[in-house]
Amino acid sequence: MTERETRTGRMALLFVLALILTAAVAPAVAQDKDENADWKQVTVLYMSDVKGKIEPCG
Amino acid sequence: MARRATYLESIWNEGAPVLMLDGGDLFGPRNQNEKHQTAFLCEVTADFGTDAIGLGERDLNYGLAYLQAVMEDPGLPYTNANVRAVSTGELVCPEYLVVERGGIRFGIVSVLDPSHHIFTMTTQEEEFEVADPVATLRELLPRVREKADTIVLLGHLGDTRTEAVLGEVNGIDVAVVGHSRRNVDTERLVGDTILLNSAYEGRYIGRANMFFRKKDGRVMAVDVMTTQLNDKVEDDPDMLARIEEYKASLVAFKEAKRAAYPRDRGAKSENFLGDRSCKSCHEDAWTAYSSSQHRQAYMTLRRKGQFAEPECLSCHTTGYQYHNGYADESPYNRLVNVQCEACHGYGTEHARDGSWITQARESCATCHDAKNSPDFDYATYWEKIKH
Repeated sequence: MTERETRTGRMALLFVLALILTAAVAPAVAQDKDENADWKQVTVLYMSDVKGKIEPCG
Repeated sequence: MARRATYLESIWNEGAPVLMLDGGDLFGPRNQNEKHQTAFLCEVTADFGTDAIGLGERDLNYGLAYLQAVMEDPGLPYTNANVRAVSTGELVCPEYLVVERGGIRFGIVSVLDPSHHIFTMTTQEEEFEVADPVATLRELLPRVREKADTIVLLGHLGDTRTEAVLGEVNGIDVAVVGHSRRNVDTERLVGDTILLNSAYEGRYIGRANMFFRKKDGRVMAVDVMTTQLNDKVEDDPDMLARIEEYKASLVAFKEAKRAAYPRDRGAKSENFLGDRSCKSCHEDAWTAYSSSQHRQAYMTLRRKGQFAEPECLSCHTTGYQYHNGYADESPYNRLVNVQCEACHGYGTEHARDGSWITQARESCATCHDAKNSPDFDYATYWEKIKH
């Protein structure tokens, strides 16, 4: 294996490691960002006057 | 409900915390078939994870005991702050609810418009006292605020009255309008209150993406949309199967009920002629009848929504279960009320040979029994229909 081939192999390994690290850390960073936000979201669903209906007439 | 199940699944899959509210009038009309169906509706509504339901006047259609039973099992979370049973003086539902969702404490209150009439299907009329919504909320809200970040009103007041109440009461962050047929697809503000409106027999569902300030849980922003649950929303196959299974049980229930009241008494050759025929010869007797409660008998069923119930029709119509007696089809449906022939027998028989049931007083006990007429006394009651 030449020195050039060894260097290329190391760079590829570093690149893969960087990808793995990014994948591992990214959600945590996003979560931190969400936790650091000064707001929270809640989805409110609402309806009324169902009047005993379980399915449409037609 | 099969479409609603599909819609809810899609919302849950988004992952944000969900608060599910109902503005009331969940129950069906006042008859036994609808009551049967409402029991199924209550089960599914509980399974959907509904967090709070404001009491509507229709939710007392089957009586207080029924409402309280479904609050227990399957556990419907009704709330109301201004309706009390006269007999006990107690509120019929929890005064308010506090639901924590996504770290936000929602204080949920509900009031009913006193002008909405409450009729129950129970044999003995139950009475309810409905207090003024504005005074009720003004007294209640400070207590709820101590336990909640955001206050939600389920206003079973209709559109106009809800807005009027919001104009007189401070401290409500969000209001869902009940007793309404409107669907509103945009954010509306009345004072500082966000008004949400989505209604009409489960054909629509409203959604508000609400953003709350983390430090105190107060509303920062809201984005509102309404979805029509039409045929563009697919049926959830599991829910559809559950509905079909239920419908089969409803058919069986109706058939069993009809079978219990066969139309096989009397004679096929005789007919009931109706009170107008009697009047032609018995004017005085007819006049006494026309001003009596007997002539109002069917109307009381209409008012209570019981006009399709065999158990009730047998005493509020003429000739029910008899050949050619009352039935829900022409020409037999003219035999409403407790007419002359209900006590005296077939008119054709009388017209032919003058015969009639001379001991008509014995027929009183057919309906004025211990269960339906515990205070019945012949001498007293005869005075009401004397002829």
